[in-house]
Parts: sequence; C-alpha cells; structure tokens
Amino acid sequence: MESVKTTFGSFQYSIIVLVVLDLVAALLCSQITETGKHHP
Amino acid sequence: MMLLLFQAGVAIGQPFVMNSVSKLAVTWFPRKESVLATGLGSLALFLGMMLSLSVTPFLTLSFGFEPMLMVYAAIAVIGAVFFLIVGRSKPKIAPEPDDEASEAFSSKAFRRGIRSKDIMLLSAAFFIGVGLFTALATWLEKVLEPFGISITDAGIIGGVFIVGGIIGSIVIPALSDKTGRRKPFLVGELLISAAALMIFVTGGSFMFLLAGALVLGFFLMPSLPIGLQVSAELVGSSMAGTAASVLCGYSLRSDLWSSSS
Repeated sequence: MESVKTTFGSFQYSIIVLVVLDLVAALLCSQITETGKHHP
Repeated sequence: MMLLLFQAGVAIGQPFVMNSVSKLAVTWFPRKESVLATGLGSLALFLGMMLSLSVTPFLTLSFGFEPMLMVYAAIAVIGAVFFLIVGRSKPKIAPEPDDEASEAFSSKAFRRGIRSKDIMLLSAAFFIGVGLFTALATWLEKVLEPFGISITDAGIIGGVFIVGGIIGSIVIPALSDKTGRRKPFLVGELLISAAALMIFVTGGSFMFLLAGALVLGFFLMPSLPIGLQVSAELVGSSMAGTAASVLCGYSLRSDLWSSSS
C-alpha cells in the first residue's frame, strides 16, 4: 500500500486498488464449483 | 542465531494450527455443521489476535519484553498439552457415511488436488482476501488520518472491524450450513465488503466510519472459514488439511506483499 501511496500521493487510491482486487476475488469465487449440497 | 532458531520453531508450528481447522471440522462434524465449526475455529484465531494486540503492551510495560514472551510461551505450551490430552484425530463413527470411503492421501491425489481449477481459483481469491485484511490492519491509521481521525479513534475503528468479523464468523457460517450453500455466501461477502471498503475513500464522521468498519469486518472475515470449508469439500476430508495448507501458503505470500509493498 505504501508504494501505491507514493505513486498516487494518497492512501485513498490504495483503497480503490483494494476495492478492485476485492471485486476480482468475488469474480474468481463465482467461478468455483458449488460444494454445499453435493459431495466432491 | 537463537532468535532465528526459535522464530523458525514458531513458524514451523503455525501451519499445523492454521491448516487443521477445516480438517478437524470436516472430520468431526456433519456437512450441515462444518462451516460453523470452521467459523468458530477461525474466530478463535481472530480473538487470539485481538487479545494479544491489546494485552501485549500492558505485559511489556508491566513486566518487560522477555517475561511477556514467557507468558505467551507458557500459554502455548498449556494449550498444546491440553489438546494432546483431550484432542482426538477422528471420531469412532464418521459424521458423514461417505467420509469412510474418502480418497486416501497420495502424492498423485495431492498433485491432482492442488492443480484443480477450483483450488487455483480459491488460492487466488485467498491471496487477495488475506492481503486485503493485512493491508487494512497494517495501514488503517494512515488511511484514516486524512479524515482527521486520531490514532486512538483509529484503534477503536480497528477493534470494531475485528468485532464485526467475530460476529460474522458465527452468523454467516451458520446461515451457510442452514441453507447448504457456499458459493453465494462467499461471492456475496466479497461484493458487500468491496462496497463497505468505499467508506475509507469517501470518509465521514467517526460514527459513520465505525458502522462501516463493523459491516466490513462482518462480511470480509467470514470469507476465511467459508473458503477453507469449500477447499475441504472440493478435495475430500482426507486431503482437507493439505488444501488448507495450499491456501494458507498463498495467504502468507500475500501477507508479505501487502505489508511490505
């Protein structure tokens, strides 16, 4: 985060990077097989 | 040299604790209770983290650095001895009938497990999720500074974030068990936590940030037990610990990246 802050001059830009990464994680998880009901 | 040796000892021990949570949950509990069991195990990790963060300064100032470490070493030894006495690796009767027929661990099964698309996707999501948590925990004071939040108030907001996570680690896994669904909870948690993260961009009053941190912790932190449970269910109970170790391996790299970069 420090490096993003140095680049953009604010930690708030780092948070925007984290928000985007969080959305990427949600997208990755949406591609995973549902395991709850059935057995592997 | 001694410091390196004993730090290595602690580091070697950590994966055995971290990776056993989901393994124990799928071994001991039926499928309809396993996420809650994993959630309670993860909750203990968060509680321990919160307690040690608040108690360590007091212990260090009151007794000194070495006695503080001795107190934690004694607690760890007591915990380990207690677990050795009362802990059992598996129940006499498997909670799920097909667990008896679960694929036995082998290097071939291990390679197939860690190369599966689902485990790779989950590992990438863990890399991001744990990095996000570590980045917030490390830089929260600096992030809140532009909004005129003092170090003390930032500490309170950080504490509320953890409390939200503790509550979420009970409520959301229980809901996942009740509905028998994993993916909608995992995706939903990450989407809501992304929205809640925006409070650190927009800023606001102390109360607003406090409420936002509670919501963020509530939805972000339960993704750990649900993710661990999904990994265990993907590979089967015999390799649940191995799958958790793969995810935790990615988490560790993410920790290093987010706290240092």
